[in-house]
Amino acid sequence: MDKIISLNDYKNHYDNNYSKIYVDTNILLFWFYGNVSYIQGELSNKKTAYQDMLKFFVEHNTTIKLATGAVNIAEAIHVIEKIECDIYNSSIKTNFTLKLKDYRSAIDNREKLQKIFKIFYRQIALVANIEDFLFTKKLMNNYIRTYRDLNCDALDYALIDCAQENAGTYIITDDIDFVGQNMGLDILTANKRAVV
Amino acid sequence: MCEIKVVEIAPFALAEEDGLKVYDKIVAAIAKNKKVVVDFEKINLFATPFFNAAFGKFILNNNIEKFENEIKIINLNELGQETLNHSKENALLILKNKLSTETVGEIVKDNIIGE
Repeated sequence: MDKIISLNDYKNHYDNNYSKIYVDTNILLFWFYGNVSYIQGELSNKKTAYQDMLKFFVEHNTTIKLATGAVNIAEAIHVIEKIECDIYNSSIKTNFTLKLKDYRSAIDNREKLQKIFKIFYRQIALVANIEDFLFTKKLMNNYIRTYRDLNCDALDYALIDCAQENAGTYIITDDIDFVGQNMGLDILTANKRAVV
Repeated sequence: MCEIKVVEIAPFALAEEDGLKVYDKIVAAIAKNKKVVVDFEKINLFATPFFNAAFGKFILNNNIEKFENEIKIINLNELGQETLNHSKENALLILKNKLSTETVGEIVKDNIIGE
């Protein structure tokens, strides 16, 4: 059974053993996307906890290796596109709302987004290994075949598969969907709904 | 002149918490009418939230002219400089569009939450 470990418990019981920690999409956003700075309330406390954890990981980088998938970055930049579009729509102060496709098609917006993505990617690459993993027919067939018994979406399933294939020991995530998946990987999280 | 060595606050420019410590030192120095130099020597890891907390916040609470006149930032490598520029541009966009940071935060939360 996968253990669910709070961030403080991980730090307090850290034993200098080698760990390979796979980083889920939301954590990448908490760590490196600028506009998270303006989150308030409980989510802000969670964000601080994850950012504090990044410092811990980097301080112990001889024994803690971080990794994430190229597909997690794809998912993250899609979220960023949506956020930036919503911020734009909030700023125009009319009833007119630009759809994401239309927002993205304007060259000024594409240039702005490209700048954000470049910086985001480069910052991640300095702390984590960005791994390729393939959405193969076999993976998709397995996902569909076992879907009824899963909580996670296809991207989560792909991250789990990547971590399993590449000697991962933990996944750090805020997503409760990873709980109960019997991955053979322990979960690090600040999500109180996940930590019993 | 007040020199703030980031490495004396944190070994990396990653966490907002550390960026806020830089911000607090900047504000304290400027309150005493001192010009500020923020030195990033030996800092090689960067995250945009740190820069938003350290500098974006200053621009939002004051203006870009005060930022450019009172604060000098040195020893940033290429990625650090790009991150700083991005943080400045983002703050200026928020000001230009007369957005509240609370609104931006709510939008981010709505898109990230639900997991």
